[in-house]
Amino acid sequence: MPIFSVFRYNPEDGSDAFFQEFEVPEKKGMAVLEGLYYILENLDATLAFRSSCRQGVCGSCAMHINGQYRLACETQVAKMGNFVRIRPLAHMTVIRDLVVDMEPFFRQYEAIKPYLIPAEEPGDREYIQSQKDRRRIDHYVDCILCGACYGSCPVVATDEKYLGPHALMKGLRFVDDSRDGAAYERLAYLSTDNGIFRCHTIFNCQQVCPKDLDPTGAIGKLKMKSVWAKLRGKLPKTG
Amino acid sequence: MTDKASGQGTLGWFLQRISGIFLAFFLITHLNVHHLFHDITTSGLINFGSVQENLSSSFWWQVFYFLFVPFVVFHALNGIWAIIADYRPSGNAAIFLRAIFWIVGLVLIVIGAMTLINLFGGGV
Repeated sequence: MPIFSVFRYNPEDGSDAFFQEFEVPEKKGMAVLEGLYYILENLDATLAFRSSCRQGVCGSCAMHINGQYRLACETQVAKMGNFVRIRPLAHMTVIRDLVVDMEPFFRQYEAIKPYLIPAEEPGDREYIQSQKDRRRIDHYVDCILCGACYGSCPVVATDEKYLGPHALMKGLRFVDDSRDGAAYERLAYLSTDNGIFRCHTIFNCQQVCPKDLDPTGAIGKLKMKSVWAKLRGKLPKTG
Repeated sequence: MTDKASGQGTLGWFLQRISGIFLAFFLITHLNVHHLFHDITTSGLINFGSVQENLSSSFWWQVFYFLFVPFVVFHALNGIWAIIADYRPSGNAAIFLRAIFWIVGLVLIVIGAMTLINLFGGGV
């Protein structure tokens, strides 16, 4: 029977954080999230964690499981061995147990303006995009904003203003979108002291991404695009 | 996009890569010429005199080393600046540090150039 060692912390009762161990009866095909629900429903109803879709789409249940950031719903208990240590995402304030305050994460995401800024006034009909143009951003659209990359990034750990791998990769998603008209303004913003040049190409984000995306590669592409824009005199100065 | 955007990191990042490529070429050439293909049975031990003789054999060696020095200095100081930038020096501190870096860089290049002038000029 696997042991779940779960991070517990309740700032309201004033006690220190600790790891609490639970014995969870294993079933075939059981995911870590299922184990957490077992604890919640049968062993300790005060355990706090986030989850929603249970199928790796919503990105709510990203947490640190046996040394790596993963989605609890996609992580098989059988592959974790008999001891499953679970911590919350790093670099964000713990609200309670496995629930962290995602406000900085989404503030950085909002800062890159994650919506289309068309060059012309929107018309009456939908934006047309060719299949070829769509394929350029296919990879980056798949990001579910779970925060695994953000929690794993050592630059985020030391620099709260750094935009983070999630925001920078989404930045490329809009820079590369054929329907967007603000590519150079976006590149200028992403090239500031908070952006792509703070990335040290550590690859943690790429290693942990549950959707097998490549934020490090996206940041590398943005660096090259920024250099070309700068050399061609198209990188606007703002601020 | 209201935050201050300067794009300052773009050129520094690009030049670091360009100077890195040049340094790889410089270092491989330097090692090959002075160390790896130096046969002590025919050319004798490597000492100041042998290096001086070797380098004075062509005008292009002088061009090579006068370029080598500023590339090394730029690559080193720009790399340290990239680390300092991670710690976000404030406006005044950044100006002060940049001034220090320029002075240190120029002094190092002058010292390197004087050494090379001595070397190629036959002095010690």
